[in-house]
Amino acid sequence: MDAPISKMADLEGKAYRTVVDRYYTPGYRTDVQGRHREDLCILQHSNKVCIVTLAASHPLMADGKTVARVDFQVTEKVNRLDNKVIGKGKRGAQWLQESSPLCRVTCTDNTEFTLYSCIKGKLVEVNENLINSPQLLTEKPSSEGYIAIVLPKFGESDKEMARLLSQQQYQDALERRGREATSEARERDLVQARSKMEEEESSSSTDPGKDQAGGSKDSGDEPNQKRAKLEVTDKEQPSS
Amino acid sequence: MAEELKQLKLFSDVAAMLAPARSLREAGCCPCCLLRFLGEKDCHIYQKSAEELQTVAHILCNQPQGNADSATGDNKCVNTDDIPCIACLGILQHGCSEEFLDRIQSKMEEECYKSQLFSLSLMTPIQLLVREHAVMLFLRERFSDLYTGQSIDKVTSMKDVYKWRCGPRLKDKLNMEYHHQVESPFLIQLMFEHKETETECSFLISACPKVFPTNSRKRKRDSEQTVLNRTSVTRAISSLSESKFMSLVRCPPEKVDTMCRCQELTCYHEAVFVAGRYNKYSRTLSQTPWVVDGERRGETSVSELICTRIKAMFMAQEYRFSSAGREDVDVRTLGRGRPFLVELIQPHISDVPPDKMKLLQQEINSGTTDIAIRDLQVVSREESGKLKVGETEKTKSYSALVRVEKPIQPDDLKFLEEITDLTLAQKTPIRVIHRRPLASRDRVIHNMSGEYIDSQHFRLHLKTQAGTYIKEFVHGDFGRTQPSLSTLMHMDTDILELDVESVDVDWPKTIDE
Repeated sequence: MDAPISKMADLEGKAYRTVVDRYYTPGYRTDVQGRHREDLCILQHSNKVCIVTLAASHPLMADGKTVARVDFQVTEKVNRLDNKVIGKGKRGAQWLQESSPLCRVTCTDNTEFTLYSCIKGKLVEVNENLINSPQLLTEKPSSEGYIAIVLPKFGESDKEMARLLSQQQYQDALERRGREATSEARERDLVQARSKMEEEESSSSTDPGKDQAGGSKDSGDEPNQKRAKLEVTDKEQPSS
Repeated sequence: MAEELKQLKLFSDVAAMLAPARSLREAGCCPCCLLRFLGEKDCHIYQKSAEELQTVAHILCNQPQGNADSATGDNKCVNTDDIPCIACLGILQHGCSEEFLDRIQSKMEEECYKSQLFSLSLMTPIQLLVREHAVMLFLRERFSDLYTGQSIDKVTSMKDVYKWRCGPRLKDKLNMEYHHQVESPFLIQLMFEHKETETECSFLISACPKVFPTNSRKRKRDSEQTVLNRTSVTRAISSLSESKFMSLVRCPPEKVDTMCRCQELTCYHEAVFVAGRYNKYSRTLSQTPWVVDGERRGETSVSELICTRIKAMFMAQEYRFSSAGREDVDVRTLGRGRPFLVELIQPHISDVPPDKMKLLQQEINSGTTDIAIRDLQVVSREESGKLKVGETEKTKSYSALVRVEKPIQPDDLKFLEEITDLTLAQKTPIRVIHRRPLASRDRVIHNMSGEYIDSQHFRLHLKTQAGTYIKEFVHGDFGRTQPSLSTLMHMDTDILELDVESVDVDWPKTIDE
């Protein structure tokens, strides 16, 4: 079979698109549950199945945190690991609301975060690999480090996705967040941060010390690694 | 005794049966029913022409009683074929006429049915059960010495007589084989109805409350027609005593004015199976029609490209396409191809010789460059089952164009050849999770090798157990296939192209080209 090799030229001509680029559409929720910068990204497969993942702007990634532990015991009674689904229809699945917690994340600096579903539907599975390899959450956020797979009601997946921010809206929101929070003096830093966002997957913790002034407002974050600091704007959110 | 009578083998000797013969004729039996109720069982007698049968009946009924040896024939033979018979209501008269058989023939020609062999099936009005029983009771009462111990079961059935009479004649008209009581995949079904007498069974409902319970809810819902079927009527008749039955029904039954009509003539041909192997050369062609939200994606599909012409050749009503596994829309199938099976429902033509199949194959292949087929052949129903045998045991070979995240050297691919019979744990891929149950399945990769292309690409050759998801093995499916090529190579790997190189199934048989 020599044919494909000759076709290689065509393939190289086009920009390479990853599995996620090819088969998934992203949707974002910023400041989930009103918590500043806690952004999540939902990847909708062309078959309408949704994958909940961490967005690059989430403090876990943006602040270069190291995840120590992922716990699926979200309340006293509910453990996401107990979820069992049967058959094609995924009977017996735990039903998720947008505000349903999926897991609790503890970092090496003892900060804690709760990650939420952001989308209504049946919980198909949580990523059990995160228990033994919690670092995947920040190292491979949109592949091995996914949080959960959710199956919205038949015919409602698109409606659910429409409630989220598109790629463009998400980038606009990040820009606004940057503008509103920073003085003009840090405009330069913002441009850098924005270009970082556009790279999507960068989890670098470079640029230390560039952002000293803004860091003071937020408790629990390391001031050195602070990016743009901003006030929460709720105007964009359909619900809180 | 006349020659014609010497061939007869009746319940008793011919001389003794003359009186019942005369009574049956007076009651209004046609010659065939007359002979049936006298006990004749020889098919050759019934295969005589209508005229010859008329003569036999006439002679039989006009013999001076007790003197069977002296020939008569003074009275002119009266043709009774236009008078509906009380026992068969004309099925053995008009139903066996040349005119009616011609109708069957023209219907066959109209619908272009062609088969090697046919069989006949008759559906007769249920009131005939009552009528035949009434004839029998009449004989038993009047000729108790001759008919004691005889029952309707000892009388040659109307259906047998019909098939003896019409089978061989239709065989010549239709130019197909016919053998009595030999089942053929091609069935001609005749449904006879007789409006004039259709209420003749109704009395049984009130006469046999055990068979037709009056107060059951079922009774009220169901109409008379659904309650009265062949089984219930037979049960009801046998539950009544002779005297009770005779008090309710006229024995012999009343004469009628009209003949049975054949309301429906249906032909039924069992499914024919066609097998072969196909190659798929397109990366934009789905295997079967692809419909999303009621909207068609893609102009055609593998199954349509293959089946449209086959269906037309066999003049089938419908088809069902199946194959040994399936490939994604963007995957090619090369090598000797993938075995497939087409089940043709209600074919009008079942007998397509090998040379015509070869032409059909050429026609299909010349119509498209997206697919090609080989080994096209008709297979038996038993053979057709082999397609799905050993579905998970068989192996498949693939080649995949892989892109790697970090630059590689040709030597970096050597280790793949050392891996044999690697068991993967594959969770149901996300791309099919909406229509398959969630499970983790073990699949085996028997062997692998890498063919270096450039620092970022190589071609992966692999032989796997059927049912292995190759794309997921290469990109890992969010870490849900373990191990995956990425975990083996310690870097992100992605699949750009996939080809099926072989589907290792030794079926259907190879046909020389």
